[in-house]
Amino acid sequence: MVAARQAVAREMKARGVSSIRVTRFATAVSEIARNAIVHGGGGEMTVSIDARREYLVVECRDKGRGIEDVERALTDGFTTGGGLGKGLGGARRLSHGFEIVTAPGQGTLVRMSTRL
Amino acid sequence: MPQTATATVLNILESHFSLIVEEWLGTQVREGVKRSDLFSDAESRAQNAELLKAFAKGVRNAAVDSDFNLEDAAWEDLRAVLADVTKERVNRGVTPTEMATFVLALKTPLFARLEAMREDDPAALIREVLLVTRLVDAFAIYTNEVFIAEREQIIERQREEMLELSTPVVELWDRVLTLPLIGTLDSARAQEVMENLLETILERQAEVVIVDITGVGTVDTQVAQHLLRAAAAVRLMGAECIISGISPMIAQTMVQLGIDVGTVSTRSSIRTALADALKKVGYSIQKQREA
Amino acid sequence: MSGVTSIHLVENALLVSIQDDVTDTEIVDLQDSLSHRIAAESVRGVVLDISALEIVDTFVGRVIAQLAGISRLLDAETYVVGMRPAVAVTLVELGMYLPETRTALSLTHALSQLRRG
Repeated sequence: MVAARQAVAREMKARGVSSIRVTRFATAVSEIARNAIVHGGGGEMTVSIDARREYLVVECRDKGRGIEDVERALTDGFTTGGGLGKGLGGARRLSHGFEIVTAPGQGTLVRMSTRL
Repeated sequence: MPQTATATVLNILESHFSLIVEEWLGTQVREGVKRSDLFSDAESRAQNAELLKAFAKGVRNAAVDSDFNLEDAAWEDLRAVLADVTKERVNRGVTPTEMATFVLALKTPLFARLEAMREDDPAALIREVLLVTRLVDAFAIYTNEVFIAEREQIIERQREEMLELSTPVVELWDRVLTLPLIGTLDSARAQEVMENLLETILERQAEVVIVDITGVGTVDTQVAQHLLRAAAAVRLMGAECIISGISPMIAQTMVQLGIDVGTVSTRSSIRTALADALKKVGYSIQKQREA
Repeated sequence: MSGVTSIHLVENALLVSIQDDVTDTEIVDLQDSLSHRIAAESVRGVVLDISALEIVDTFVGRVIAQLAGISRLLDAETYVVGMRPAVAVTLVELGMYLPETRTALSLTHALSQLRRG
């Protein structure tokens, strides 16, 4: 997971993104990657650039239980437990584009992007 | 290998290159888009020549039938030249219409030659005219896109400069910074102000930051949130934040809105905030003599 | 590459520098070993230097907050120093204000605060 967020940071820096924006997005990626590992039993992440070279897109797919109530997961539950709490909503705020595709029993796909 | 439909066009571009450059210039002058006030003859001629050269290269190497796509790699040179010329002209003050017409003016000399060469074959003439039209139109549209993007960049740069001017972080005393906020505080601005402030704290190793909101018009929940977030970030970096300039009206609004300031220090005036700050960094103010 | 963290004992305080490629497991292990050392060596304080961290997400934030709580129960204060501006902004955006954790501008500042008790 460390490798994942470092890879994203590397790509962004190579394209001249300011360090503040690199930190913001890489942190968001870290949250999502962790969720995939902890709640999704591990998963796959792909990093790509969109066709117009304006966005860096990260897709994170896991084969876990899926999220039952996405809306609730996105609102900040300030729980101090290890739950989905702040991670998801925070990750969305730190990204420019953010989509979740999930269903109970069908795993979760998070597609997040940041302007370059 | 270029298809036969384009062979004529390529022929024209290659054998009558300099003449076309001149005639294009002529059309640009007639249409009033050459802008001799901004560009010398030599400069405009050079721009035309560069464009024409790249145009010819593109026609030679790319698909120009129904598969024509300006985004193809074969048109890379032309795109680059179009972008460069457009940016040059934008930066000197050319308008979008003038830029588009500048490019579209190329049709005139090309059509004239096509007409002369294809007197005997109207069907072929129409095909070639359509081809040239499609190509040149695409170039003009592309310059428009570049134009808009360039303008937006200029606006963005100016906005940033204005932002820096209007929210300076001032080092009031050794290790004491002050940030006088003036005007409105929207999300984008709050973000930039916060980044600037935190970087300055790091640079100057400031221990106390006074954020003065005397100049801020209205304090609603959004603004209050931005302020509290900024104060929290300042604390996370190890410095202290004092919010000063809280007027009676702001105080009332904040209480009514149920905004809880938590552990952030607040003061009604900069004066008391400054006294506090100096104390925190180890100074005391002593009166020397009666005024 | 592992995030080798260095720990020094200075003036009765544990100085911990966390490296950028620290993994989740290493961070949790760190919390554990620090807790033990605090108790064992009657340490007065812990200074966590996170200046090398470019990315601090909610997990690491939570571990830090927990460490602050644990150390306080064991009679020591934890100070986080060297947080980068970008990290501070991001944590705040994530809603992590770490209210129970003390912070200081630098190691020197933290030590002087610890000295004052």
